[in-house]
Amino acid sequence: MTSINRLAISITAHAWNGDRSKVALCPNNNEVRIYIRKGNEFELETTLQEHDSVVTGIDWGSKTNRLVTCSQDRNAYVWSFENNAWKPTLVILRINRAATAVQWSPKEDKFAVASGAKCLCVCYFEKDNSWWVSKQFKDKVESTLTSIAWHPNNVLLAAGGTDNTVRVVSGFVKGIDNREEIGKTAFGSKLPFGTLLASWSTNAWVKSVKWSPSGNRLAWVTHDSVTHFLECATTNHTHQSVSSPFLPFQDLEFIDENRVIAVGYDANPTLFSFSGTWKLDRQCDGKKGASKAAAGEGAKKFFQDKATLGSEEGAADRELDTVHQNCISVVRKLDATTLSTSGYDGNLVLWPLSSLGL
Amino acid sequence: MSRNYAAEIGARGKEITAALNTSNTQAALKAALRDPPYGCTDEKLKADNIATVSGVLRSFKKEADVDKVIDGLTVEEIDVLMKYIYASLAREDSDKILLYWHATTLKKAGGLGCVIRVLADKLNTVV
Repeated sequence: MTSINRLAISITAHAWNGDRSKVALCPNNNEVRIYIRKGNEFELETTLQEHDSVVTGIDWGSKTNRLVTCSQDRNAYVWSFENNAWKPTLVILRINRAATAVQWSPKEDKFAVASGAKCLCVCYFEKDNSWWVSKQFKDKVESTLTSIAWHPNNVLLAAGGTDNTVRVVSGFVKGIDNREEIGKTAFGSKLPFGTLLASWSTNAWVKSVKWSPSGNRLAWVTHDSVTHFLECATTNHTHQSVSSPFLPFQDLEFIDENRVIAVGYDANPTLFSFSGTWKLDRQCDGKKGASKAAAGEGAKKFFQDKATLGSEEGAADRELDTVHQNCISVVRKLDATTLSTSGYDGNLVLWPLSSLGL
Repeated sequence: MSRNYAAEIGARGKEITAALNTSNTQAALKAALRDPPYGCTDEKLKADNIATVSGVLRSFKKEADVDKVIDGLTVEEIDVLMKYIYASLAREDSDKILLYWHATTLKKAGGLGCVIRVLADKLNTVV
């Protein structure tokens, strides 16, 4: 059963902990709230207040249980749970504009931050000085970076931005990553930090970029309602773009190698599937209007609604047919059979794949 | 490799005129939507091109014809069509069939995504 939870007026970001018992989200302000999942309900556990403005990105390391948050206040904090409390550590990113997105690397020994300062930061912990160091990549980036995604090999980093470009950059950090372990990749084998390995131009802003679970595919959604797919299992890359007749997407997630769910302004999780080529499959949120329209609330209410609301279907006309009532901005994989989405309507929705018809 | 826009537009113009003379509006449309002059900087050429395409759109007298021909267009052609529809509407050619073109392309084929691409695509414009 789809679990719909109105946890705020609007949600900018959310992330689950390792065992999926807790979720951290930002209710469109400078706080990060942690909720515990109790059956079908969510209960507020703690509120973390350290940022000065809207928290734009949250990621929760499933192995290390560390939270990383980034905000429009140009900072990022790493939070560790010690002595029953969350302790924040400030990370000096050295950016002079808002941070837009953050993600732990697969091994959770580094994290990447995208920012409006036209640069991408890779941060790692330097034991000698006991602080987080930020290395920046700025080469030829002409505008805000909106999203970043780590490849499963812990080194390659995909970044998309409003300069209509997707880049794959090396996030290799000496001392943290091991060159022999990484070996040859589909993007090259010389990978000092900050090497621009590949880039693709699009016709509109790139909103989100994600790797498939194996790292053999890369997909990104752009603001002109086009979803792009890249085959990159080998050094021979093939690109395909699929236009959709819907409003633009904001985020996407690979359910598996051959299926991608994209979410956005249509407030409707949309499926793209691969069988030879990528195709737009369908919007997965079924219409729920039927029951409301047939309510039969009587003639008096019908005319009242017509006069006060100017609508003939009554209150049902003022709601969207979909579960989400506004743009869905984040989609995450909860587990192998469930997705979670959060949006500007303040809803955190848990979708078992069966509820999406998958 | 730069395109010879004048030659392309000229060639298509001849093809369109020939098709319209035999009342083959479908062939005229297919020719009109081919090789849109993206990147052309000659304002007069572009204006003439839009005038020609607008003429093709307005040569469809019956709404049923519009419905039928839209079914046969590819996704890429629909995107190009919507760009020309907006360009034609901007020319103030008053013909209600243009409004029908817009409504039908929106509802049947391209959806809002198609309109979004007209707005977002700054590189590939016909105006």
